[in-house]
Amino acid sequence: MAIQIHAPTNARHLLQALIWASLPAAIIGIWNLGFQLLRLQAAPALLERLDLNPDPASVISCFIAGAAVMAPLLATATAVSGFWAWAFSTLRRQPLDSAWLPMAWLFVLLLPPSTSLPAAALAMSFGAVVGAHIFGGSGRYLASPALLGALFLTMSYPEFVAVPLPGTDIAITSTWAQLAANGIEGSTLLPYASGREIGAIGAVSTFACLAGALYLIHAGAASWRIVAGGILGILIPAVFLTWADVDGALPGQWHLALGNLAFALAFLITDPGAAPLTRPARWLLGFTTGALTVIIRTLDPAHPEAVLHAALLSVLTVPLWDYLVVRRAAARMASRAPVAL
Amino acid sequence: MLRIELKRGLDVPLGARPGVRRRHSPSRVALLGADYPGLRPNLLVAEGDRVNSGSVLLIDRTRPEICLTAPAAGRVREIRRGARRSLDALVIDVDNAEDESTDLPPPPTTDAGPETIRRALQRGGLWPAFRARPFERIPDADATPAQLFVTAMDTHPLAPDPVTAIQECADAFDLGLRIITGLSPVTWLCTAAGANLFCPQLAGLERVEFSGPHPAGLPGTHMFAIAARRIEQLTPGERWHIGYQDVIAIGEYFGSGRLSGRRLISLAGPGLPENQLVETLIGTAIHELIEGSFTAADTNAASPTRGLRIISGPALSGRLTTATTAYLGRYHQQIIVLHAASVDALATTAATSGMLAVEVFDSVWPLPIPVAPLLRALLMEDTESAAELGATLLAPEDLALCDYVCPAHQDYSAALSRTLERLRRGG
Repeated sequence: MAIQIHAPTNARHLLQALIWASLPAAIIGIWNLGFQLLRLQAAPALLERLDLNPDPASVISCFIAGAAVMAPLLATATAVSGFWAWAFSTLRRQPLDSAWLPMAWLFVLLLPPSTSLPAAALAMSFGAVVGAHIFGGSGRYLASPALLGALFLTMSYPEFVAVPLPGTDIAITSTWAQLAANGIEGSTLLPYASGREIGAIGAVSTFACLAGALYLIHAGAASWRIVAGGILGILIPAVFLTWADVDGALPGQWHLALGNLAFALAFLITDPGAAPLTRPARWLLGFTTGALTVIIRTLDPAHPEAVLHAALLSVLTVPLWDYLVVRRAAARMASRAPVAL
Repeated sequence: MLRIELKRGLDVPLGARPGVRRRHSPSRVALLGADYPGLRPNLLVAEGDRVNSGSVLLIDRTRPEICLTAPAAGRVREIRRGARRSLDALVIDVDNAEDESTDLPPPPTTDAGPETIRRALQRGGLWPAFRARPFERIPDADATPAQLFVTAMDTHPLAPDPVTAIQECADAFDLGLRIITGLSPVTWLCTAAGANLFCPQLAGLERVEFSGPHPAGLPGTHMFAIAARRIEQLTPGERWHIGYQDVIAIGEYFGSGRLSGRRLISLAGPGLPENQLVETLIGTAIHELIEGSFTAADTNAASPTRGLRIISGPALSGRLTTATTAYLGRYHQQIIVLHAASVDALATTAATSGMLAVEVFDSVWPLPIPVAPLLRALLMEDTESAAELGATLLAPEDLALCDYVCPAHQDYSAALSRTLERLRRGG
């Protein structure tokens, strides 16, 4: 007999919490995207039509410029994700997987602003189908579909991502790539951490991502152990690499401030659909994500951004950590259970 | 005395414990097949037969020493069969709840040998008061437990306070403890911390106090908590448990030779005008009980049970009753009444996604088993992993809090029931 009462938090609340938690990061990301476009004098045609001043100092102009780039991507990703959710629910005669919208939302936030719409549609399809639906939808997949989709894009179709900004011939280089090549001398951390950098649309503001993580933890959707493990995983190797004076070593806070790392810690690896089942595995998932990112970023001579790769690798190790924890518990149970089995 | 403080768990807020008290003599009682999973009934009565308090109604086909007896004198009104000739309900019209006649032989004296006492408990239909783990079933007639747990506390929301019931029947409880401690080498009297209860000095009986949120009062929690602290006493064998009201019933039978069938239950929940403590019979018909708690001034006094969801047992692990099964369960000490509208509003978010690995499962789970892997093994019907993680030592009620907090609204306790059934059959 199924239970008649339930705690007030249900799966839909958790999905809503994810949207709310990522909203500040998205808003800062949209504003920053517009700011960078206007700074590079790549103002979208929309601004002219609205008779707005293409001045990077104008918040409204920045916001509208950013939204003009993001909106088509979001519309495409939402339509594609919704289509696949509908298709699988129809074919399987199951209710619609309610995670289709958050899936598309996170995916778009992870996209580089120069992504073309066909590339976004293709990558979203890969993320939704291979990442989620073939496993049976949300709660049954191995890694966040948004993560898989974005990684698919950067790995398989780098030429799609590297196209010039829409409507211009200006190619942009991410802040991470610039700083990794030139070093951080003369730069200050705060603007990057608060969101003034070139990178994925919604992942630029470390502060907004960490605030989102706190909200998710408060709402019960994310595990604080994953986030805390991730921060430890950044700091420990970063301290060690700096101490060993490895070429290209950066302090931990720079790693966290640049690129997608804070976004991945807050929204990708904490995904309750793919998160670890045991407490030790939660610490380890966070730790390996942070540590792998720092290690690849530092030791790979090309200094790639590496967060998505590290996150995927770490998420794929989760079943192993869980398995080991369960084996240990089962062994202890065999020797100490109330009834000798 | 051992004191164990449990930190993890959750007290679900449903209201205050009942204070107002009344007596209710039901016109009808029933024995429900759902209370005895695994029991294959061989009915010894037919519809229309007269029965006395203590008359044997049915015996287990596979273990004929185990029988169920009538809690009150009356006439068998209906025997309803379920799927595959299983027993759904055996309903008795009670003609006089104060009837003193009984079919039982006089009980042996308390200093009789354990074998005599065992047979007397079985003949009196009191044996099903014990349940044995693994598999949470009525123990075999000749089995001996390694440890016996007397549950003299109740952490379920809105549950009656066990101390009240025990203090009223202190002599019967004391005698009952003497009887049952003879069955087991070790007996634990599990009470709430600071409970005003007297624990008699008996060989093999030790008191242990538990504090903390629910499920600190469940026998499964007690078994694991004591096993973790008294490793030296970890002898292999079954763990039995029995509730305090059944200990009182055993004491009353051995003291007076009568089965009173008495239960002190709480009738409570948001669907009622007030929460009450009701003294009634095992298997009492619930609808007339609830009608008695509405006054004529209440708006829907004509059909007070309309628009209500009635649960026999705790809100977390009880059974939703229907019009034909609205009787108090054998092991239940409470009836929870909810508004149907509030229940249906929650039911619309049925389980659509798989299990979500959120931290909340760990925070409501005090047992030394990794809970989320266990829950996933149960959902995946991975009986082997579930058994390795100790699922055979659990009862569905142990997982009720997981059902409650699960954001995906999965039914883990039902999954555990299925897994236990498969493991018991050796699959």
